[in-house]
Amino acid sequence: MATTYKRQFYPGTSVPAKNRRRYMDPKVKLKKLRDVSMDDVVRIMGHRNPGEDYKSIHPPIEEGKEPDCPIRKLVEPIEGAKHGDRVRYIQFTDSVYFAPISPYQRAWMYLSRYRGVDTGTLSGRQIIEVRERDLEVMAKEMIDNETFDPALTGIRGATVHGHACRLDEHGLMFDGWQRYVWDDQKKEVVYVKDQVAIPLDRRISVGKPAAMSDLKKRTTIFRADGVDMRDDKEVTMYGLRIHKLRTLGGYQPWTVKGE
Amino acid sequence: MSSSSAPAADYAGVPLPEVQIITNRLLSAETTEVVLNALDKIQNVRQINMTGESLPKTINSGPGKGLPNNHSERRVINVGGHEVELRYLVGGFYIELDVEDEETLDKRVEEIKEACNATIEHGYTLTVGRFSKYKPTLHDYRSE
Amino acid sequence: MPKYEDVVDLYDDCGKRIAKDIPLEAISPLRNNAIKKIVSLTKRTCAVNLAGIEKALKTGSMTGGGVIIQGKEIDIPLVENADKIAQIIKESVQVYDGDGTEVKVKSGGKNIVVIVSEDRMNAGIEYTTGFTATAAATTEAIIDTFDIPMYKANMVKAAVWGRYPQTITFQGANVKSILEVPQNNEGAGFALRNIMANHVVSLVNRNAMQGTALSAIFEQCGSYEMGDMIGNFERGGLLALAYEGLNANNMLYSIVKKNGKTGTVGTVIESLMARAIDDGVIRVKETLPSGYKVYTTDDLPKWNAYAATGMVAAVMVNVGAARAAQGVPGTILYYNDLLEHESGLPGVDYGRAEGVGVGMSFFSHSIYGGGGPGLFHGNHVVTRHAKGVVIPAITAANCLDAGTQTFSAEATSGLFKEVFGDMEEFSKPMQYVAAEAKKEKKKL
Repeated sequence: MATTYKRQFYPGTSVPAKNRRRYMDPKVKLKKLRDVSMDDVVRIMGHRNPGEDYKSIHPPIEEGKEPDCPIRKLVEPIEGAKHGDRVRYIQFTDSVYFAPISPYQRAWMYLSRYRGVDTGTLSGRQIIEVRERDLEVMAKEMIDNETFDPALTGIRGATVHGHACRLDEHGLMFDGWQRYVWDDQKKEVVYVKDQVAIPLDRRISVGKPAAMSDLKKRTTIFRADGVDMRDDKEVTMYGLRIHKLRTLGGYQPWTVKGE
Repeated sequence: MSSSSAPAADYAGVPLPEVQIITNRLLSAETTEVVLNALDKIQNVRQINMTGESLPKTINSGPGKGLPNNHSERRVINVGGHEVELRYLVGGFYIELDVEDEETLDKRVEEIKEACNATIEHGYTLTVGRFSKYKPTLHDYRSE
Repeated sequence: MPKYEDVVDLYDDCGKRIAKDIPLEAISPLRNNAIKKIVSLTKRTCAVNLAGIEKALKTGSMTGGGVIIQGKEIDIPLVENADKIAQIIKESVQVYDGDGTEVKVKSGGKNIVVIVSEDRMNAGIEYTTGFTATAAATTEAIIDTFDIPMYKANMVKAAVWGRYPQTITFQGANVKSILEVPQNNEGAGFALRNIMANHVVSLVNRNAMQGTALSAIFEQCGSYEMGDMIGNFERGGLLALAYEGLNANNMLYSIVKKNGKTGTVGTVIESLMARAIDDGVIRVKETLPSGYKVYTTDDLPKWNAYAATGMVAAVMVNVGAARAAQGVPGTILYYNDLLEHESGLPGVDYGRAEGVGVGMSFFSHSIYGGGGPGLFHGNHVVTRHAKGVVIPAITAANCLDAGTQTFSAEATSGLFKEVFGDMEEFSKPMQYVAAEAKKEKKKL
């Protein structure tokens, strides 16, 4: 009988390890912490104006008219691909100061939860490129849910510097382009520029930042002043194990038995 | 000196002590102004250099390139009656002290601590030493 | 007696079994006649773009780079006389009647495909004979047929051969080979790895399964030629060729089928783990306090072949859903990382595929100049490390692109589709290799 395998995602007993597993597991519905309207998400991304038609890069995919390939028959295209949408992006910068998620874990999460995505981790930021109409749905989810913190997560298309900078006096991650500002009356973070710093014609609030005590419970980040990765024996064992097996496999794989 | 790596001020070549203040948070222009004015009152301060994160005047890449950045913290502040143009979100001060004995040094460092405690809300680390160049190096001759 | 105990069933691109109980060696490039023929045709087959030559001569625009040589234009009807030129080329190229030389006129005279005979190839030691013989024969055929005077003959040469020998490559040539010039190969044995993914996409008419197979064949033959598939290393390479490339035991097809409608890279990993456990390739070594199970294997090369198959499946599902090839490096990278975290076992090619994914992400996303994933091949500085296993995944992704790429297969390699598209050795390698494997099985 065929095994029903259930993914285990990631080793570890610590809080960041558990959070990593949670974010990656598509069966876990992530908490929705805010509701930024779809039009505002579209405005912040800046690829089109709300209400404007999607531009296309190729004609719509019509069933039966694709090249004769059995894989195309098995793999259903996402909506935007069916319509021939352009591939557009959203990019998040996550602060090292206990942001809910870090760029690399975003890649794990994206590829575990979404299909039809192209993602890449760079220094301190994570880009996700998807067909436009699918991207908008994903972007809204990711801005609304618990992986986003108004103060420690930035939506930045370019000049993303800030991930490893000290926070400002309001606890906001540094942004040389000041795409978002602190609203001292409402105690909220407000976007005043889109992700490439073109001024928005309206202020878009993304809500109140979480307390540091809360973030330390939610984060995936190991830190010496939080949970030190070395204190999670399973995680460190895993790193050493993979390093060893890659090395042995790279030498004489046929001699590696039961390691 | 024309080289950017040269010392910030002409100097006789003697390593005077510096007090390095690294703030736990990056300071707003307003706080920077308050801190500097508090430090300005302390005697024997020869010069203060600041570091931080750069705030560009215009958007320097992407589709918005060339647009004014309009960063609220990139502005002119007033220190001891002089106008100073801030181009950084400041996170560090290097205070050079023109002192010749340990006793005066200790006294001034205490005064600096008092000034910082009163003005820097989120804390800082303070170290006494020498952190910046005080005489030209080989690099500066090469770059002439 | 076969050297290896491994036996696989081969399935075609639609998941139908086409060869049962095939010993691993029967798909070895050293034995399988189909693979040998594919390799042989790859070096012996060239396309002459007659319409291109005609246009170049008429306009003086030739050798690429915007060069126009004015004052020596030649207006001659080459396409119209394709049959005649083809006949002269054949007479020059063939050694004797029936030596295997083939010259066929295609697309109403716009192209001529030339297959140079083994006899001619055997008189030299470099695979370039296919190209040089064809190009020289074409040049002579045109000069003779149209009585081109001596002072204009050099235009014919340039229109056919391109700017070579001023350039290392045959820049702007109107004779095309699937292979690059040897000088462009990065090291010993790289010839068959120096084939752009887009070329393969064209050769298989965008069939992702066949593209994976053809790339796997080229790449693993390259591994033999590089000295990588010798002694104890051979079995690992053959297992990867079987499972990843030739859909052994229908693993690739069935994983894609299971995850095609709603699956993600994550669910592909889930399917692969289940399969590897069921097949006894991996087992639990220990369970850690968190409940995390550390898996181990007694057959790491086989696990590698399984992992490589899962990698192509992940690409087919994720990139296939996007119908946009650009996601392939990211999928390769994170698939491997997720798999390593899932299993506690090394990813494809013992970590090298993951490394390639990192480098290729950078090089294929305009951060470093231009270039899309279709331009990549096993000779490229960032993709050469995971030998044999990564290029098939890249080809699969490019097969599944619906038209998002500037550097599409149609743009870079359209001629190959037009000229070689009906050669079943290239367009249906899975069936072709399986049929020969059945014959080889009897000999073993």
